[in-house]
Amino acid sequence: MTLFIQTIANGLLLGGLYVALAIGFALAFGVLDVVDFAVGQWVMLGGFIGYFLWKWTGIDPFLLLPAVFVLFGGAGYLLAPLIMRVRTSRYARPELMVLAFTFGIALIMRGGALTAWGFNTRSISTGLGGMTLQGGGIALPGLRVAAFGFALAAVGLFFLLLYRTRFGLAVRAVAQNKQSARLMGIDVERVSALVYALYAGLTGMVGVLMAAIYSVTPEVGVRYTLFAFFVVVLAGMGSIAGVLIAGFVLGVLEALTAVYVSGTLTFLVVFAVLYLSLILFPQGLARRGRS
Amino acid sequence: MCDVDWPSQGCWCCSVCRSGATPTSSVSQPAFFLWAGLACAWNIVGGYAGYISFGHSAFFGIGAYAAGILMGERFGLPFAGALVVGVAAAGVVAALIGWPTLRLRGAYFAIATWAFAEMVLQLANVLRITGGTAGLTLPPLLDERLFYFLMLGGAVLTYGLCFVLLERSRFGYRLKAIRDNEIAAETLGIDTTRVKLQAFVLSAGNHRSFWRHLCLLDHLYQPNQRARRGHYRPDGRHGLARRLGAPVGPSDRSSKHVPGESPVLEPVGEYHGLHCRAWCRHRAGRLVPARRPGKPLAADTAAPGAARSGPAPATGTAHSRGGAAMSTPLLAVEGLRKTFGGIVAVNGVRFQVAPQEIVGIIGPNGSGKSTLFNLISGVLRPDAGRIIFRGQDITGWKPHQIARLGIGRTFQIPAVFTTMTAWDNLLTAAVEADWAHAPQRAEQLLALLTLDAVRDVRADSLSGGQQKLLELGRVLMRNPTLILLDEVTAGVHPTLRTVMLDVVRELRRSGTTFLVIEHDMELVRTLCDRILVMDFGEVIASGTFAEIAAHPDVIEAYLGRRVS
Repeated sequence: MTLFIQTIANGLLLGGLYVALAIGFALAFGVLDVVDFAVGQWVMLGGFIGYFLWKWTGIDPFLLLPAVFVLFGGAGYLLAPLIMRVRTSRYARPELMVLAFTFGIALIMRGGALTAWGFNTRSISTGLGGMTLQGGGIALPGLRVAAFGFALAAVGLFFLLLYRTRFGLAVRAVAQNKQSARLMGIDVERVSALVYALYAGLTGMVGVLMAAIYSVTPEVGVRYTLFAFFVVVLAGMGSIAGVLIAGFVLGVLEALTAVYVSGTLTFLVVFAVLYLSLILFPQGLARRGRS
Repeated sequence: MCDVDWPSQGCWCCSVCRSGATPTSSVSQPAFFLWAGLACAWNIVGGYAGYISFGHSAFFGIGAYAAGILMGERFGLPFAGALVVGVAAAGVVAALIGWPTLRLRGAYFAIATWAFAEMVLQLANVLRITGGTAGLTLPPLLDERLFYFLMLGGAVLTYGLCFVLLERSRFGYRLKAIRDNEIAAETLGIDTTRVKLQAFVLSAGNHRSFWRHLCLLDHLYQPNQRARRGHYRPDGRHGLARRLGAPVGPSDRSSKHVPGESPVLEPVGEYHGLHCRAWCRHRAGRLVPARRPGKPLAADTAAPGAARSGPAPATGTAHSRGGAAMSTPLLAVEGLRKTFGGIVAVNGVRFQVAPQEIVGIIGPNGSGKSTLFNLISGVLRPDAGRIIFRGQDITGWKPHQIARLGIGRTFQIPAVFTTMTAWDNLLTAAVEADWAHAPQRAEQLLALLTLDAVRDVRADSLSGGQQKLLELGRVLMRNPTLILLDEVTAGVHPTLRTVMLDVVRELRRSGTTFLVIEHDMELVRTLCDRILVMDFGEVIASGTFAEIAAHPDVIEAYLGRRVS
């Protein structure tokens, strides 16, 4: 029984990070109308950049998070106009061409990482590595608790930004109707770029933490892309609130599969659940904001 | 995106010739053909139909593994037999997977296919029969030169097949219609589910055999390798990716058999990704200049003697016009009801339409008029009630079945096929009807609706009014018995309105029945025999214009209680 509770607890802790991962992704989708296939690669790059920064400066990765945020935010801000250009082009089905585009970006990131850094796994160690919180028969690794705390803080700030600031209002307007937003004087391109930057920065930070909790290789990108898709599909594309729940569902599912089925099969199980939920609920499980 | 692009075709041919000049022992050139063929096959579903699939590597792998397992020690099948079975396996899996997956739209479809492909990859890594992560090893089967030419032949064959099959055929038009506007395609009689599935299975089967030759030459199957192959599929464009991919990608590989090593393949993947991106970025949606109008494909048996003037019904129409003396209604709607969440859009609507009547439907915005049309044309399923057309209960029928029965409709927001020219839009309407006479008919309609000047212009470049005209033309191409016009004159110039009305009256004389949603009272008064007034999803009045204009409920609905 304690194993079960422990597993659930682990799952919930990780779920927090998955929520942080997916919420940026969901926002980028809502505002830019882009399903970013490269989301997992941002995580992977975040892990690597975090690793190298930690190696070179020796600063604890938790303290490096703001630097990573700024770095990745900048990169995202620069990349966003390209993505928007494909998205608003005159192809047949530009919303799908941009999918292929981001898929290409993902390939570049992965290939580039492999070329530059090879196969070896890197992982970051933090000061919290050794700590464990004990209580009620279960042990919670301090690192994961801290990461969970970070995720909570990030998501909280995120919602604050979205619902309590002027910028957030503009973002929501752009997400609902770009044309009308322009008529209100909102610079849609700039808002979109900033949202993408925010998403990239947040996802990069998640990557650093993933590198600390697990490790990072150029191959992990696919895994996190899968997780982001899983959460967003379960929540219903466009439903930010549903992401909160779906993230935890994913974490728990992953933990349960790893413990009770097999570690190597977690990937397969998550994929299978994703595929089945798409097939069985083509309208989305929760309220669907947009198809 | 996937129209004939002569420059690309030319480049493709050139590069094939260039590499064909010197078949060497390098594995690079056959790999080029492999990717060429893969891209071609993928294009059927991804480019033409607009269903971007990230899962085709799975079919490649399934076919490859099926053949490989059958050729191994356990079964020992000869190559030809294994080839056939491999193709069949891939096709069968595609049919099974395609059926549920193709119900998804857009991004969901892409994600689902990607998930499927990754699942297959994981399975291949795990199962013993596929050799796990180490893959299968097979003895080399073919001499290299022979192999090279086989691959070349295979690529040319695939390419040729795709070209013939898709570029100017009805199948190609169907696919493009699905890509541009699936619902509109359905209302033109196209069975989108079946067509999509056909395309899916065709592209999956195509992925198989010849391309597995490469694996055979490498005599090593690896799950990762197979997945990479799938990911190398660049995108829908015919020639460009291959053109770029050839010199950069394969030349990274050593000339000997070093196939499965990821460090070699990864940079290639990167370059392909680069090409993917570069292509998407710099190819700004350029479309080939539209074809000269005239012969779409099948022998145009146009006989000058058959030329007609005006929009009279084409010969050979399948729909019989009921005699004017028929007393049974053409269309009967009973107790129709449709809710969206908490909103009741259509609430127990009941009416009948006699043959050759022009019935107008008016009402304030949001009264359920367009929803009613959606219900009748099958785009939406009613929650309750029945729709009977020519004595047949068509409630719950799919849009394409209803369209083939003889009901045509236009949309309130023009649903033209955006990437096709006006000419192609009209032709597409005849894909499930009289294809042989379509060009003639299209010419007539273009002239009639004064769209001559824009026949080769992309539909999304037309003005709103022109798109409305084009939609009307599209409906008329099929000669339906019952036509539902949803605000067809909105945004159209007054002189053209007169033309449209003349067309409607002329068609009515020839036996067509009309249901017309309009806001222009004058138009309604002069055109319609009978008028239904809707408000809040119900028919609140019915009768001639004079009758409904004096009806207190109608006045209240439009002008408010105090006035009435």
